[in-house]
Formats: sequence, C-alpha cells, structure tokens
Amino acid sequence: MKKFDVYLRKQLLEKYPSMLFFMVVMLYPNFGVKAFGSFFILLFSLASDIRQKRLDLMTFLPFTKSEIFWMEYAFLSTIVLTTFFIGLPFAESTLYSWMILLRTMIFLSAYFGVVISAVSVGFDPFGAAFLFLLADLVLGGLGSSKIGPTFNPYKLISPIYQRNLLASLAMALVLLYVAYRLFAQRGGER
Amino acid sequence: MIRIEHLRKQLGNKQILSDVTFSIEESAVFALVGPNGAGKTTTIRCVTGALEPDGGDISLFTEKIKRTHSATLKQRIAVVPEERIVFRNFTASDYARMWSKLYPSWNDTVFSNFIARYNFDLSQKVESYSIGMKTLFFVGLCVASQADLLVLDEPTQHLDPTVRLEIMNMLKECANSARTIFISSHEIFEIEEYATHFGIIKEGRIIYTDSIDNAKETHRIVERGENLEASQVIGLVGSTVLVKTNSQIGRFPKLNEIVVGYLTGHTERTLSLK
Repeated sequence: MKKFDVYLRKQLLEKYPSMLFFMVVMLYPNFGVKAFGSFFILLFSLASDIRQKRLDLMTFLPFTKSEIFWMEYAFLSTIVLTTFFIGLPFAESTLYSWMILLRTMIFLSAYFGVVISAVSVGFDPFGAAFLFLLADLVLGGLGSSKIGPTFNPYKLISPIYQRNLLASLAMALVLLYVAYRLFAQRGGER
Repeated sequence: MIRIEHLRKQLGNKQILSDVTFSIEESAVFALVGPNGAGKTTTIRCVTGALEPDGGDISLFTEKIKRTHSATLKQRIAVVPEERIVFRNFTASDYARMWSKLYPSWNDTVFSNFIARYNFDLSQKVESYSIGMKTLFFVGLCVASQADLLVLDEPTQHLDPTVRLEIMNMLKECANSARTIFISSHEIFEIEEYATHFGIIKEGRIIYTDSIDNAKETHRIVERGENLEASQVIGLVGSTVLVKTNSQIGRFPKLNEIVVGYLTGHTERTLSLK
C-alpha cells in the first residue's frame, strides 16, 4: 500500500493538469461519456510516459515493471470508481447506474490492455489506441449480435458495444493479461 | 557483490551489448569507461533492472537474477540516471518524500545536511534546476537512500570543479562505509581520483577490467623503437606505446593512458573473434 500511495501521489501530481478536464467529464453518469473520458485519461497516463521515453524514471526506482503495470491499472480504476461515486447521487439509483460502472471498467481494461500491448511491441501508443478505437467502432457497428445471416460475433466482445457483458468482460481480461505479460517482459524498451 | 557474465542486449535492430563481463567487489568504486555509444548506459539499465538482458547472467548481492529484479532487490539499488529527466511537477521536497518512502534505509539527516550544504530550495520544482543542480540533487538523493549499491551515470557531469571534488570525496566515503559504487563516466582524468576498479567498454564488449593499482603495475608506457621483448603491445598512446608486461621497462602509465591504449589498440579485435 505504501508503494501504491507513492505511485498514486506521483501520478496525480504529474498528470492532473492534463487529466482534470476528462475527470470532470467522467462525472456524468453515461457510459459513452465515461468511455470517452477513460480513453483520454488512458492516453495521458502510462502510455504517455512510455511514448515520451520517461518510463526509466520509474524503473530506476524500486518499482518492478509488474508493479508499475498493476499500479497504473489500479490508478485508472480508482479514477473511474471515484468519478462514478461522486456522480452517483446525481444519477438515478438503479441497476442501470451500476451497469455503467461495470461497462466502463470493461472498456478501460480492454483499451488499457490494447494500448500497453501495442507499446510493448514497439507501436506508438497513441496511434495504436486511435486505430483500435476506429476498428472497434467499425467492426462492432457491422451486422447484428443476434444469430442470423448478419450475425457479427465481434459485437458481443467489442469493448464499446458490449452486446454480451460476460463475453466482453472475458475479452477485456484476456487483453489485460496479454498486456501484462508483454509489458513485464519488454515494456517501454528503447 | 556484482557479477556480470556475457551480458547481451539488442535494442531495435542494434546490438548494443555483445559480451559484457565484469565483477565488482563490496566497497569498491568501479568506473565503467568508454566512448559514446559503447554500451555504458545500457549496461547500467540492465544492472538496475530497467532493461531485461537478452542473454548472460547478472548476480547482485550474491543473488542471481532470474528474469527481472525483485522489488526488494531494487530497494538496495539507488540510481542517478544519465538523462537528468525528472518528474515535471515534483518539487525537491516531493522527491525527498518519495525516496524516503521507497528506500527503507533512507537517512533524513544525511539528506538535510546535503540540502543545506548546497543551498537547495526544497519548494522549487526540480525541473527548473540547472542540469548541474539536477545532477547534484540526484547524487544527494542517492547518498541519503543509504542503498547498498549506488549506480551513477556521469555523476560529475556539469558540476563545477570544487563540487566535483566534494562529490568524489562523498562517494569515496560511501564506499568506505561498506557500500558499493558503480559509475559510468567519460571523465577519465578524474576517475583516477576516486575509483578503485575500472572496466573499459568498447562496441558493447568489456575489453579490459582490473583494479586501477594492478593495471598500473602490469602496464608500461614505452617509447617507439624500445625493446618490447616479453611485452604484449596493447595500443598507441600518442607517440608512445602501451604494453602489458612484468619487465621493468619504460615508465608506469596513468589511468587515462591505459584507457586510451586499450581503446586505440587492435588486440580486442582478435579477442572478439574467439
């Protein structure tokens, strides 16, 4: 916990100017808005450090890459949770509100996984994130999630569309695990 | 204390380290010297766990590193990185708070004395310090961390001569208190003042490593045309020749002459093909 405190403080001190706007946006209780905010907060976090070749600032300190990965995920999740709970009193307290939280967490996990995997194998994190977003929007927008001639299985696992919550959660967890393995081995090398 | 064997590392398509082998004993001040791009910083990044090597073995504090450094092991290593990039919004006081939480042996008194000695403003952002002040500040953090291994990449770069001398003495004191210092530097003239051991790295390979005293004892500088029988010619140093010998010929070399001799010599070429 002591290390997470240090990491949290470091991220807040370093990132609040660029994240503040999106954190405010994320207070609005709507999945689309929260996904939008999460997407940009994701870009300004670890992905940005790696892009700007500043990861050594952390790896030279007593943090392992595994710790950095999970602390970053915990940091981003904390933002999602905090903004959700602050915004909760202003939203209708129904199951739907809690579904927004779950769907945002799935979105965050999947995109975090994709961005960190991409950067770990040498791609630009920003480019990878926008490319995946575009592909996700286009592929997920085709066809239908119901069995039939236009059935599109990707719709079920798409982090944006999430037509099947369990399937998209499983997909997000797989992406997160792959990212962890890649980042712990080669993440941010230059 | 530290044992590096046949370390290899490729970054992108470039082979940065091809065969790095050396060892550092406890309480030694080891200087890694070599030209730009020789692999000094990459070696440091591998030793400190910032990079995972492609091959070879690293043992730290008698613990052999399997794949990555453990968090506990990293708490015993403090680093002054070569690029003095810093957390943009961190003041000196934020840095001190961070290091004090991360290093279990952190010594507040040592840090306070250092800050007072060099007149640092703790409320100022470290980003706004001059590059020399950043170097000095990181050296202060490293020393106050009381870590067992201090790794300093160019620790005297951009410092004025008086401060350089003080830093060199400080590092010597650290080594005397059973800590080990691993330095990378271009400053071959000043290394002689405080290092006890050194390694010469060229094109990703260690071409020579020894204690400074032993290196001086086993090498000689001779004039061209002098009888070099029973001597191994190492390389040219200006108009003279550096040889390795036990014979009483020529004169004893300075450290910089040994370094220049090995870097200009051709013997390592043959070694590399073995």
